[in-house]
Amino acid sequence: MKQTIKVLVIIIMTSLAVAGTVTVPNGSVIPVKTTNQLSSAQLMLGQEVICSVAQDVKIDGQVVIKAGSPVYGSVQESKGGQMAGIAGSIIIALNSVVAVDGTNIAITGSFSNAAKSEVGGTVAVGVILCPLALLNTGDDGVIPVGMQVRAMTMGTFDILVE
Amino acid sequence: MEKSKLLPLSIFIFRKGLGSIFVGLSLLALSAPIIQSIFDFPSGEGIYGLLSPICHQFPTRSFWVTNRPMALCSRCFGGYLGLGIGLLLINTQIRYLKSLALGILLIIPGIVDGLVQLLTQYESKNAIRFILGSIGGLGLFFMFFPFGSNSTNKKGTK
Repeated sequence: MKQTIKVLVIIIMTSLAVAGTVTVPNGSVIPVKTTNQLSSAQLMLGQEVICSVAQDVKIDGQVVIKAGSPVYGSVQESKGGQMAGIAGSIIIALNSVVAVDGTNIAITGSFSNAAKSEVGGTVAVGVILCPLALLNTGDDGVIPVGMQVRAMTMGTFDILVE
Repeated sequence: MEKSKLLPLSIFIFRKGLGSIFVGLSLLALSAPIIQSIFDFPSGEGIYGLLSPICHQFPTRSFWVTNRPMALCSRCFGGYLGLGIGLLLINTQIRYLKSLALGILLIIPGIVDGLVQLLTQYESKNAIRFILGSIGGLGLFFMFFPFGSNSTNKKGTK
C-alpha cells in the first residue's frame, strides 16, 4: 500500500513538474483554413461549420493550439445566386478553437465571399435580345478548400501544456 | 529646359516614384503586425484590408513578425521589394531584347515553384518563396522598366 502511494506521489509530482500553464493573451493570431468547399448553395443561415488550424500556435515556444485542431464557426450569411444574374454571397463567422488541453478558446474572424454580379449583362441581354435571359441565375458564394484567414483570440486563456 | 533633357528627367522621376511606392508597400506590409502588437487589435487591420486586394495573405505563407503574419505573403513581399529595389537602384544600359530575355529568365523559377506547389503535394518554404519572389520582382523590372534608367542620355553623359 505504501509503495503504491509512493509511486502515485512520484507520478503526480513528475507530471506537475513537466506540465505548465501558458497564458494565451487576448488578440493572439490563429491561422484558420477551410477543410471543405463552403458554398451558399449548400449551407443555411446558422448552420455549424468546422474548419481547422493551419499551423501550430506557439506562445513562448510552447505549442498551445496544434495544427489541425478543429475550429468551430457558423454561417452568418448565405445567399444563393438568384434570377436576373443576382450574385450569391456567404459569410462564415469563426467562434471557437480547441487548445491542446481541450480548452475552448473564443475567437473572432470570418471567411467571406461574394460572387461576381451578372445583373448588368443579364438585364442588357434580356431587354435587347431575349427576355428569357432574365432567367439566368447568378453564381453562388463559394469559399474554396484550403482558404486561410487570421482569427484572433477573444480574452485571456490559461492552457495546460506538457 | 530642352525637350531632350526633360524627357529623361521625367522618366527618372517616374521610375524613382514608382520604386518608392513598391518599396513602401513592402514596408507597409511589415508595419501591420508591428502596429497591431503595439496598439492591439484592431489597429493595423486597415493595412491588412488595404493590401488584401493584391495578395491572398495566407498566414502560413507569410513571414511572422511579433507573433503575427505580415500583410503580404512572403512571395508578394519579395516581389514588390525586388521590383522596387530594381526601380530605385539598378541602372541598366542593356538593349531591350536582352533585358526582356533576362526578365523572363528571372521570373521562371518563381512560376515553376508556384505551379509545382499547386499541382503536387510539394509545399514550398517561406524563405524560398521570398527569394524566388524577389528574383521575380527583379525580372519584372527588367521586362517592363529597362529604359530611361537614369537621367543620362544614350552616350551616358548628364
